[in-house]
Amino acid sequence: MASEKKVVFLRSSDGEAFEVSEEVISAASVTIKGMIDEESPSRADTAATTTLAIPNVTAATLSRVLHYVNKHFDAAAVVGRPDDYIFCAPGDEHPLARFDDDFVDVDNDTLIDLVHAAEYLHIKKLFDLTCKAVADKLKGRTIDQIRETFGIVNDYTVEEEVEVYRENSWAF
Amino acid sequence: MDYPNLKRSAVAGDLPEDPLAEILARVPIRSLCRSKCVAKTWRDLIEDPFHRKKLPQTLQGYFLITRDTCGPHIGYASLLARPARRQIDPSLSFLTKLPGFESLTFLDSCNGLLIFEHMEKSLGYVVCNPTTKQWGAVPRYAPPPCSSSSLMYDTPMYLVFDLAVSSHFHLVQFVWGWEELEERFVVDEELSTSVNVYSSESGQWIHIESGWFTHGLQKWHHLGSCCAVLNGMLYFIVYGNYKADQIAAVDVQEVTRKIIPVPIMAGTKRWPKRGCVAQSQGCLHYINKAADAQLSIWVLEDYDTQKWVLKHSVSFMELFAKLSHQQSHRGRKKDYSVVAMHPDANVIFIVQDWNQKLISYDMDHKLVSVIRTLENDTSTMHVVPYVPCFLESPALTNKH
Repeated sequence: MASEKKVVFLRSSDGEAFEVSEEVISAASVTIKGMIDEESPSRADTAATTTLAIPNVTAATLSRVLHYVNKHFDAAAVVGRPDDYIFCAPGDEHPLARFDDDFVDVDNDTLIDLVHAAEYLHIKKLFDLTCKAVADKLKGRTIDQIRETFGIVNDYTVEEEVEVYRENSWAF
Repeated sequence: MDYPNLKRSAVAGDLPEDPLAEILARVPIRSLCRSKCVAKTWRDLIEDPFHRKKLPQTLQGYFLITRDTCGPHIGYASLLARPARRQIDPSLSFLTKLPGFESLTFLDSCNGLLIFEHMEKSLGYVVCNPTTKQWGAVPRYAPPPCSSSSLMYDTPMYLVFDLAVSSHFHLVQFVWGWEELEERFVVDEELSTSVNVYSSESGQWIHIESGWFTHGLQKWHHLGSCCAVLNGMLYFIVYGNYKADQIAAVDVQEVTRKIIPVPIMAGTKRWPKRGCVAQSQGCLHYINKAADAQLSIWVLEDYDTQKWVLKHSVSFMELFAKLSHQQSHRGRKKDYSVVAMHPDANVIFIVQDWNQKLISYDMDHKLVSVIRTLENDTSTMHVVPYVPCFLESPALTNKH
């Protein structure tokens, strides 16, 4: 085990701190890499570990994000711990495809929190994955279900609503 | 740093604008258009030109193009209930300052690009994008000086532009020639066609002997929107011997091609008139009328076995009874023309000859709607379906 490996702590909006490899999180998150680069001159000569505040992300979401990040961005894990991965069928395009499917198989609020977190932390792969998962949920739903799912108030007047339905009637 | 609480700060419930646009960019076009009904904020976001670059686009309206003495006369019939915000320029006014504008004639359109030809031949062609207001000039094909002595007849130009395949466009022009002999016709087999293909990527024309003889393909025909582009392939109707339609399929990148026979109604030998081809929902469609004006719409299910399936059939009465019960057809030609099929829906668009109304027919909902009455004479009008393209093309170098 590499004892030299640097770690950082991420503090969620509700005050919980999570340990993560600096190398892994820097590869995953553009935002955190920027924070670490800003901090580095002051910490070069000290042994103290850094704690970064992530004010927009709750502990529940952050722990999910880090679970994803450790799976996808930790090269050591990929090489050293193959048992962790469910062996993929020959047809699977990506060894983590099944992990990803399970990862986004969560309720709407959790998923939307992940979209926000991925956007804020600037983790492109996770952002793409979660946006696609929300898009898949949109596809099969009625207009009323979409409004309910995303907490949207219908701001059309009756006349306007008739018009927009008529204009797009072919799509129903 | 101050990060606003994103949760419920949104234009649309839980989702702020940018992630919502990213999510909507990942839904299919039908779901996207349905989503406009969720709330005004969603509709406005989907119709915002900034986001539209990312979002899939569909049929938005029709250009109505005729020619008069001072150049092409361009009108526009929108399918949207409200005028789209600062988007397309419906009269293509950005082109009017072009030298030789008055000599432009409309040729073809494809996935958001339009091509015009200068009557003054040395000026060549103009390809434009009405949404980005970009345009580019394309020279005519110049045959080598030693070309054969046989008469060459230009056939219409096809514009092939498919963003799923390339951000560049191709022009495809078939040339058929015959020796003018004392006899009225020469033997079919001697009439071979060749193809000129222009690529906007290379900026060059290439000339290819097609290997297709006009045997069985008496004349290449092209009528308005009677061609389709699907996965980079060009499909168009050719009018073969014995008045039987055939569909020519041409891969413009490799200029490979094949002939697909059209479907025939059970109990009949041939269609009385030429049909049309269309791309819709990723499949090739064929639309034609039987002698009793019954309209049928076919879909090519299997490209290898060339198996057509009848998708829908509708009688003249069903189509027009509701609309025309108060109008007398006496002394009027009881006919209509199919001008296009919706690229993402089972909807066809029709011009009624007797009153020049542009109507739509939704096969799934059996619904007929009037879009508008066309002012000019429809027999000389191009009714051009328009799907906007928001991406700036590297091939169109001029911008208004």
